[in-house]
Amino acid sequence: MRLLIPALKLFIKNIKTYILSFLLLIACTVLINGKLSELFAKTRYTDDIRHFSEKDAYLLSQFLSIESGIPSLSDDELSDIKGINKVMSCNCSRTTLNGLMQMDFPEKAKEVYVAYTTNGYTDEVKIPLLIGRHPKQRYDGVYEILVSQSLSKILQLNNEYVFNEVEGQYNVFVVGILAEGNVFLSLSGSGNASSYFKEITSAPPWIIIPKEHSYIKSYIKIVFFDESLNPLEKDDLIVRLNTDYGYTYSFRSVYSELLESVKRDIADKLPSCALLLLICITCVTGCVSLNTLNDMKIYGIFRLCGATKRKCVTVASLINLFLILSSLLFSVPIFNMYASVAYRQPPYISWRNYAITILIYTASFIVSAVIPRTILNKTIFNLYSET
Amino acid sequence: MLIEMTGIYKTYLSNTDNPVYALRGIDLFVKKGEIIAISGKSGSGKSTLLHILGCLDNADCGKYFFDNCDINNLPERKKANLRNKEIGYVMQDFALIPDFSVMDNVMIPSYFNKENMKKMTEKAERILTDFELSGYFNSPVNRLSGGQKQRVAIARALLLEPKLLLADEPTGALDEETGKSIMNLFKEINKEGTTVIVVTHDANVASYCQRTIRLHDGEIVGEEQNQ
Repeated sequence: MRLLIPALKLFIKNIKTYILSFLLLIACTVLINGKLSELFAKTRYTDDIRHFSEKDAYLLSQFLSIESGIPSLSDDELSDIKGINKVMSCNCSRTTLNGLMQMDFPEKAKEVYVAYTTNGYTDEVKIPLLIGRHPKQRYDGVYEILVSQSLSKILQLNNEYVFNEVEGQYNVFVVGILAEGNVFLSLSGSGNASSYFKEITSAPPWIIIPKEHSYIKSYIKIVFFDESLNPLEKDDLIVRLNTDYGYTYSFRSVYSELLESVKRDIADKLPSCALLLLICITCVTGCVSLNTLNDMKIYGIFRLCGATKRKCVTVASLINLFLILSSLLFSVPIFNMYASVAYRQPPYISWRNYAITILIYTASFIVSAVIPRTILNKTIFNLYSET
Repeated sequence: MLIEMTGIYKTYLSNTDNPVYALRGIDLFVKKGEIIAISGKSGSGKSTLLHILGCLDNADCGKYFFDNCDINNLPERKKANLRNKEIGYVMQDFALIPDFSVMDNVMIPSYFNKENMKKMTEKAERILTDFELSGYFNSPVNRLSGGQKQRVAIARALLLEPKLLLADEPTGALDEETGKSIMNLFKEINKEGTTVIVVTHDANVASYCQRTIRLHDGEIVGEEQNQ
């Protein structure tokens, strides 16, 4: 414990020379965390889709406008269709669109995304989910918000007064990005959630719903087909649903598409993360080694005053530890800020981010502690002696 | 007898074609409470001898007993303990950490043992006050004069009341007047019972000691008693 004193004093003395190491560690942590967060979010989303894929469920999406003339079906009407076993309703009405805020999109959106959760069918539904068809990279901000966040986080994205007006335990969310670039977010459910929403702080405005589009109504249903259906009958049913009632997504096809996309993502992101980590560790180790070499005379003085080589190495390692811990201290809020800007998310760090961060810092610490140890072991004996 | 050294040899680059014989059969005996000088030209082996005396280096062969303790068979940890508690060092270049305060520098030995820190701090303050450095406790040592720096180095060496004080050219970086005051300080320290060994090539400095041992090419070539 007493060795902490010289270590701390030396750390403070050298703080200027450690700034580069600080910045490197923090930048590397933030970047790697950012890249891997995207990956984790997508992986989690894929897992959710797989869940429905295994249940042989389909998403029936009915986007209706006054002009479309396509009738909306009730759950009972849908259940009466031959081949449909069960229907989970996720209807979203325009009344819930009131008060949604603005967001500037770089380009006009053309896709629709649905995020939902439900407690009505707890055996089938686990956690919030996003269904999207061919989500495009240019809408990455929106996409990431939906796939990477849990229910509470999705709620946090929206201005609280939207929810204050509506009573109910909401468990379905739909974010639609229409061809004209207009967006809606909707929710449905039952129960009282107002006490929960009051705790949510307002996020920056981000979604626009122009008044001229307030006629939009959307009904999203998850339909489970009869197990007795053979593949041909199933295909027929899907075609019929598509033609007559809206648009049917197969969880299975979404899942396989996503799986491919996640694999591509992993192949794309992991090498760059590994390279970043390698560069960071190399640079930090270089900085630490230079500092250790710079302090060699001080370790010689310590030895003169009764320090063993092991104690000198301990002091050097403690200095590294201070460097690592203080960088860690800064990197968490910096990543929070980065996440809120880059991903338009409220400050949020998952246990995975902490695990990644700690892993990076542990690796940096181990490598940067080995080098000074080698330097000290090889050269400290020469200080104040001629051997 | 505090130091008993017999047949000490030290060779550098022994595995090469040009080995350097730094010490050749040194026999040295120092009583407790003595103040002696080891003199000789540059390259005569003075510093090597000092490093072996101070357990910073090992002899190739020969016997070395410090206060009846066989140094040759002592593990590194115990040698470090000896350097910490029994032997104090004063170096020509002061061996101080420039950015540390005077007090921090004096307290360095206390970081490597389990003595009570509060008592150590009080003691450091007392020694520094005795050395007329009371107004400099928190000053960085790089703001001090050469003489003050050397007094800080001596204060640090004395913090744990060592039996032996080793000084390697302690006046080498000081002007004549300051050098004199430092040597007088050594004499005072010696009077209080600490054995002092001063390595120097300066005859004036050596004259402050009870006897002078002259080294040449790694051998003791003479010994003189001073008045």
